[in-house]
Amino acid sequence: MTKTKGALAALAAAFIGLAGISAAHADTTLEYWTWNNEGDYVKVDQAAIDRFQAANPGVTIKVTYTPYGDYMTKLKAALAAGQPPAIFQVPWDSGFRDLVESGKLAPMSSVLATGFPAISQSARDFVTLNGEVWALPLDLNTLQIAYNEDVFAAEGLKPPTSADDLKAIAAKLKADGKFGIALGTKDKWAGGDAWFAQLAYTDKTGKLLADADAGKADWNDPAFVAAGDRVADLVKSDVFAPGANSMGAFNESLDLFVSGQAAMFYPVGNFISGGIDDKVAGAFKWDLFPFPGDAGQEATPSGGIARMFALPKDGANNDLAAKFLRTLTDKDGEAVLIKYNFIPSWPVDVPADASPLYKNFVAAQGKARSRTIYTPAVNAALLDGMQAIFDGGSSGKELAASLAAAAKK
Amino acid sequence: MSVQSASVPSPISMVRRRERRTTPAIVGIGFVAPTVVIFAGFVAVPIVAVFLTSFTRWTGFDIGAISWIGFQNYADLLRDPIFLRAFAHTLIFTIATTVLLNAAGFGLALLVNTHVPGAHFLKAVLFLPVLLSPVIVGLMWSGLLRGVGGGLNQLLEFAGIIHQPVFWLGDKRFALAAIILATVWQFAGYDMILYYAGLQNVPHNLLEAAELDGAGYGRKLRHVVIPSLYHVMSVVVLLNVIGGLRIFDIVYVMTRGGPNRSSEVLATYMYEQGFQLNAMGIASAIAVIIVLLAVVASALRIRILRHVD
Repeated sequence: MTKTKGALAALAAAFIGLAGISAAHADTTLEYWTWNNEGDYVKVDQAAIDRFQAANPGVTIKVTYTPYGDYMTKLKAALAAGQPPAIFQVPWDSGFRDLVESGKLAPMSSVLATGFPAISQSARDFVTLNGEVWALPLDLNTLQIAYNEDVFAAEGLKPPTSADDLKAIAAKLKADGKFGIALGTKDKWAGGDAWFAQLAYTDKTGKLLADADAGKADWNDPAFVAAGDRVADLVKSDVFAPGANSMGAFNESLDLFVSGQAAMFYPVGNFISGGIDDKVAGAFKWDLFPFPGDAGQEATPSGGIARMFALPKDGANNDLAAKFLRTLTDKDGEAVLIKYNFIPSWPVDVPADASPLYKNFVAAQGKARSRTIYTPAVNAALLDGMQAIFDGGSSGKELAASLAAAAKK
Repeated sequence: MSVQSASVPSPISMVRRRERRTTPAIVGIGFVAPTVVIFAGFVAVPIVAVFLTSFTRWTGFDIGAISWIGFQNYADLLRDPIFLRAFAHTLIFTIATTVLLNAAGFGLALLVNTHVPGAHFLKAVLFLPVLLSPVIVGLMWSGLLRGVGGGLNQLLEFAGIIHQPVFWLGDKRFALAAIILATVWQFAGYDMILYYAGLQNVPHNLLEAAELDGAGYGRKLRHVVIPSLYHVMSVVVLLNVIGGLRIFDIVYVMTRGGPNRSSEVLATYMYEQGFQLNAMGIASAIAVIIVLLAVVASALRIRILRHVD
């Protein structure tokens, strides 16, 4: 009996000892949440994960992809439960403000001060609220109109330099049985981008949107009214393929472009250019031009942050998580971003052998105007109002009034 | 000793009797407990939580940041034109689908109840859409109703009825009607099965008596079959009403509530408020209103049945 007890005690001691040894070398797992499991973002992430894990033995990055529609629900639940992921993508739209105001994000100013490239001021401004930086802006996007070069050549058309040019092109295409710009507003956001594209021309200051969003300017401002009216005019002039409200931004409307029924497609940023290439599969050549303004106005695209990442407030592994973000943005990370046609949010030297499309994106980025409204109710009113305009039953004045009403909520 | 044994129960027999009384109770509780725990955890507590949340302002991020605002969310909803539109659309959707589903379900049940050759096959085929996910049905109908290249437009163009594509789901005049059509297509088979089951219980002696009295098919239907189905009908109507009030998935897939809110219903608006605009209080208030509407419908059913009985 005594022998048995002794043996058991020895076994227990050995087990505890082994457990202690394994605890000392316990793996650390960093949860990394993102919704971008499409296209080349996966490759960018994986390249950084491989390098980080090789440099940090015992640390594993566990990636969880969640469709965007469910992402915020899941993230909110995790934050509310006090079990947030170590690194998580945050939305660039009005949800970002709510996240910041929830007090669940770690301030990033001090984190970004060490070991990160010099994030451009416009990108930094984008993630700055109440005087603090709340996320790492990884890369940027610029929205332009894609056009079918083969159709344009066959029709004797050139990329337009003014809205009137664009209307003339649409009329010519319609006469030949083709649609102009395929744009899908069923999931709403692309309609908002049609408005932001016009605002780039109607707001001469470039600051009105941010001011109105901060309550320092009136949403009934003539520049906002004019932006809505310009879209309404383009809709009336058949610049857009009919039925925008019945088409998803990257589904049915992109299919119209890919099938050759529509000669143009909007909005196109570097995040979808690979997807277009895949779908077009060499059937025709395509290129980009910015949404044109009035004759004589310099072409000004709209754009913003593509992906941005935050850390949880008081996260136990924030130092390690910041280290991973540094891996995403170091020289090797930068090279991977450029390799896959993404635009880093810091100044980079574009390689001489970069594709013309990439050079186009980077050049346009320098002039891009914002495409973000942070106030949720105003953003929702914009997207609804644009559906009304695409339905042909509304005007810029009505849209601006609904934005002003939403801002008062 | 033997006399004593007969008149005074022994301690052992008392324990056994007590065991007999308590054992079934413990066993019963043991059987019921899992259901009660699951019901409490996944139904009762969330319902109470939603009810309480409807009186608060909360973004859903931090339970510590919740603030009690009384009936403010309900007052705001009554002034919110989008909510009022969603409410009206929900009622239209519920009434339309309930009427059409019952008409189609009853008609199809009569058809498959005729025992014509192929009736069993027909029954299976008509029930098939019920087995599909509403998301799949939504995607299928979205494809069918596409403006360019959609099946319906191709058919109508081939028949010479239209010469330009109609964007059924992008046109505010048709969007809600298209969703109603898809819903009726999917669930008519469900109502059919319920009515078909009810038809099996229609008393044959009554039908024979009516026939002897010279009643034709129409009279038998009106005076014998339909009255015999009142209880089945009330259940089917109630299920359709409750299903209609909480409709979400098919609307979300087909139109996202658009264009410009023309097919917005309470559940899609609730989703937007809760998960896109982070207004959990407002979303909860909408959920409570949906539940109240279902409770009213249920109470009405009971009243009507009492009246009929």
